[in-house]
Amino acid sequence: MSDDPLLEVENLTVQYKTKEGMLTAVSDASFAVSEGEYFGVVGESGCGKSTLLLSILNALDSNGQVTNGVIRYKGEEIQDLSEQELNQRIRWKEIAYIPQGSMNSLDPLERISTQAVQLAGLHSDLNEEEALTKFEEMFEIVGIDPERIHDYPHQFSGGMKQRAIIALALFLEPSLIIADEPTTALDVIMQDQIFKHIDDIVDRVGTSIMLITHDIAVVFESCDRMAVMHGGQIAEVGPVTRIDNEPHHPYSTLLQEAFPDIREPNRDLSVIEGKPPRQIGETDYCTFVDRCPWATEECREAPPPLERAEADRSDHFVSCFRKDDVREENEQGTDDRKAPNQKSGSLANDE
Amino acid sequence: MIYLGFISFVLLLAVIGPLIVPYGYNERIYGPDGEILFSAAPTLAHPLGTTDSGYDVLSRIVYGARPTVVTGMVSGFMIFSIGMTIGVVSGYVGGRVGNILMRFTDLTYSIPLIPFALVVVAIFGSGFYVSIVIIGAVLWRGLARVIRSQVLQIKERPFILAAKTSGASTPYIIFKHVLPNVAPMGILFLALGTGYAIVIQAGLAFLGVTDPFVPSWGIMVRNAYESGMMSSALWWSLPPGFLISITVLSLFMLGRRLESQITQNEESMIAEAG
Amino acid sequence: MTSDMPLLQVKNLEKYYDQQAGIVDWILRKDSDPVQAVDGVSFRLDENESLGVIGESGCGKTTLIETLIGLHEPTSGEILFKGTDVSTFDKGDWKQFRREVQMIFQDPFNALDPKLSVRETLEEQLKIHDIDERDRRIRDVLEQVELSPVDNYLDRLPKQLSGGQKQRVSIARALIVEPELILADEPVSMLDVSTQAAILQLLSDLIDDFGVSMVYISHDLSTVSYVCHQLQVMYLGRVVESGATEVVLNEPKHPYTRALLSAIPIPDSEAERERTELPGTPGDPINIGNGCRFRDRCPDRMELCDKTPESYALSTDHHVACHLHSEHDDQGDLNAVSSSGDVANGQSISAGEGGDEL
Ligand SMILES: Nc1ncnc2c1ncn2[C@@H]1O[C@H](COP(=O)(O)OP(=O)(O)OP(=O)(O)O)[C@@H](O)[C@H]1O
Ligand SMILES: Nc1ncnc2c1ncn2[C@@H]1O[C@H](COP(=O)(O)OP(=O)(O)O)[C@@H](O)[C@H]1O
Ligand code: SF4
Ligand code: SF4
Ligand SMILES: [Mg+2]
Ligand SMILES: [Mg+2]
Repeated sequence: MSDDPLLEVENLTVQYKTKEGMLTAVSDASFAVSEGEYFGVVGESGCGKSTLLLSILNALDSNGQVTNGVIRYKGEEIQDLSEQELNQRIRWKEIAYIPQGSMNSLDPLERISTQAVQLAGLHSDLNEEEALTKFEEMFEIVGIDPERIHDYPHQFSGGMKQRAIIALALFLEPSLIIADEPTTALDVIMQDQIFKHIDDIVDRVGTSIMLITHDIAVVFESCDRMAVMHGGQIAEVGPVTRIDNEPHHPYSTLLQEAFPDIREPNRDLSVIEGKPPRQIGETDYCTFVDRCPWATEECREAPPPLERAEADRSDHFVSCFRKDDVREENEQGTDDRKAPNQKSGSLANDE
Repeated sequence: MIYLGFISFVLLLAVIGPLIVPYGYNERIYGPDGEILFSAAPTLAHPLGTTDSGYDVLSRIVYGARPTVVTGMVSGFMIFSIGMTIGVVSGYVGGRVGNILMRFTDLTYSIPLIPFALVVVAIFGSGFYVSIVIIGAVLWRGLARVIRSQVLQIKERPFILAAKTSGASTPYIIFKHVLPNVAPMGILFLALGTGYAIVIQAGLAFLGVTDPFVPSWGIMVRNAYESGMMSSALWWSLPPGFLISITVLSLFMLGRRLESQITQNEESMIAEAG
Repeated sequence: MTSDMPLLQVKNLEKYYDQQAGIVDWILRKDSDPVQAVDGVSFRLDENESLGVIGESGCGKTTLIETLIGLHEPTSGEILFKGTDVSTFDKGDWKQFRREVQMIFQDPFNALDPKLSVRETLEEQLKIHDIDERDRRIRDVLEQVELSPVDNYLDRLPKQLSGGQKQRVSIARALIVEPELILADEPVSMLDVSTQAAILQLLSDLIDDFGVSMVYISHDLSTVSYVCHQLQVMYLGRVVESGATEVVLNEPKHPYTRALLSAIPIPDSEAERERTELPGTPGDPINIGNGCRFRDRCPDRMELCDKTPESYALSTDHHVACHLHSEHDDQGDLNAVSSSGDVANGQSISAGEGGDEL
């Protein structure tokens, strides 16, 4: 991991034009991904995760636009590059993308190898033969028999298609892969197989990965650093160990407590009432306020700034007016929370 | 909104038109000199002039609204009811019944409408209602297909299973769950089909496959054509053609509106589902 | 376990689907092999008990539940509801059955008719079953699934509800006729974690406080402990392991159960979990012949495994169909169970242990 960030996002705001007005899907978001880093983004559906990464790729729906902020890739501002420049220099070659529901994003009428050759022609200088050799190597890495690169997508099962897409994303050796919920809708074993291959890639190829998911366990297990998003705002960003053990934002805390842990099958799960708001117009308050047990009037009056969680830590940022209170309360409550809380009338004891 | 307004206007004409017109549709108009006014150009008394038989064009136009509306309503109703029934039954019940109904639908696709109409007229004689029924009896096919494919999708959705597993009967499920969910598509086809039927009826009238004495707008165009005065007596030949076009256009535009509403609803559902 | 007669008993249930034969096969009069979606499943479910059925996609879970509720005719085997074989049901019995057994679906976004309001959806059930006091019942059931104030929800259409709220309405629709058995097909898998917990709590309350029995389907073992007393792990149409929830979670014996457990991500940045070793997917249960159905993926495969393993009792309440455990049929294992009984009573044996053994 070098010190210079690979990808830097500063004060990014993204809005969609809708019938009701401008919908703010991402509001004043800032974070950075370093070289070789495995970076996770978590949040419920509708938090703006997909929008965030589509804006990085400059691939927003036609009614969406970056209305503020900069996106820097290897030091260069890329938010205003033309389609042509992006295609020639950035997409696939530098930043590859695995879209949400990507199992269905392969062209059903073309052999997978043909699709790879086309990509190589569009985004690299490789000739056909070189492209195919590279592609075969990638199939090896994602655990599919390299001979099968000439298959059609329908000859693959869902999990294999997903892995073929990962191979496609990888084979031009991008420096950054952005994956949007790559395993949602797959069951646990398939999910684990796919993450095994992604782990492998991080180790062997040294690519940075930005993983978007609503599964906090996956991020805690695999990633180096993470961001927690709520209602378009970055609630907290920092190393996973910090956010796991010392969360400062109420949403990070509650999200963790809502997540079942197979090691503690009877722990009480917390519930977060409501859902992230659809924000029409500027976001000028904390979007978690209606769901937050710590909320005060202050939280409605201005958006909390993304600040250092603790003055002496330069890698952990939180946006909450009451982060110190939350932190303190978490510290005291830790014992109850982490212990396998036997539920009253819990099922295990009924026998 | 203009379109809806125009259609209401035509409907109103159809209902009260015959009550408010100054002249009958086959009442000869006499000039001040006692002569019949053949093919007279528009005047204040006869704003759209007269025909070659000396009828008042405006009055005939007003009268013509009713046959047009009847055409639209009867064919539209036939298209809607036959198309929905066959589409829903073949889609929902499926199996052998469904297959037979679908083969039957395919069969109607092989019928060329105009020659078919000519044959039917040769057998049953020409007539206003015969021409409408011919149209209705053929044009339901598109609706039947679309509805069938929609029903096939809806039938697999869990809310239908839920109704089944709680003991609802098949007719109940069809009326309560399937029909309301395909109805928007049916109504879209009703609007489009009605417009299409009016155009085709005008076409048939023009070819003489309908009763020449019912003063529909189609017949008026035909009369003007037969008199050989299409281009010289524009006051007579243009307005009926024009009215047919606007009526049909209005129906189509209304259909489009419905269509975009349907897809929008679906889109917003998808958006909300994340 | 209140009475001797189980609420639901399934004996050797089989459901095979005929494959859609292509036109060529049809001309050649070639019979295609059936899909053996459910193949010899047996279990009993007592009143006020809940059974989890676990397995990957394609293992036959949905087929099992849909056969239980009578949407498919079983290929063979018996389903006894309160002691009566459902194949002997007449029309009146079915009607009664359809009231006493209700289903909750996986996909809350499609489980409600988009044209019906919450009130209409609930009313429908009452109408079908001729139940009075509709307004009161509708209000009560909405309170029960925590959609209150009730007046806010009565007239909403499904598209005006969030995923979790839709699933609550789905549950209310099942509850309003006061069923004795609920069949739930992955009821939380499409919900966000924040709502998942609430729905799990609601389901477990139904069992604890309202005396409902439940068959709960899932591919994810991390939530079953909140709802299920008993577990059955299914693989390609067959049950490979069954037992009390804690026993199966704490002492998984079948290699497949272990794989399922070890594949669950752990929400802890310090936990060191090995990724699954299991390759591939279950495949299709077509023409699979004899032998253990898991053998192509099993890390412990032996020669013996070409013979179909029987179900061995490790204790009265823990069965496994795997040759690894074939010699385990006497006292040795009864001890294992008593120790697992302790586990249930609070002392933690981390599930990691199951995983570590792999
Ligand atoms: N109507 C059908 N016709 C033919 N085969 C079917 C049919 N329905 C299911 N199958 C097959 O039966 C097997 C079991 O399917 P089932 O839907 O019961 O699995 P499941 O365990 O519920 O999976 P999931 O977790 O994906 O819901 C699969 O191989 C499937 O392809
Ligand atoms: N094309 C679009 N037009 C209008 N609103 C959109 C569009 N795409 C997403 N949104 C809205 O933006 C918000 C964030 O959505 P999204 O980025 O998809 O969230 P996530 O990926 O976290 O689920 C949601 O309120 C969503 O409805
Ligand atoms: S700023 Fe206020 S509402 Fe937002 S998370 Fe902090 S305490 Fe809660
Ligand atoms: S019977 Fe053999 S193949 Fe099957 S699970 Fe046991 S060890 Fe593995
Ligand atoms: Mg998304
Ligand atoms: Mg299923």
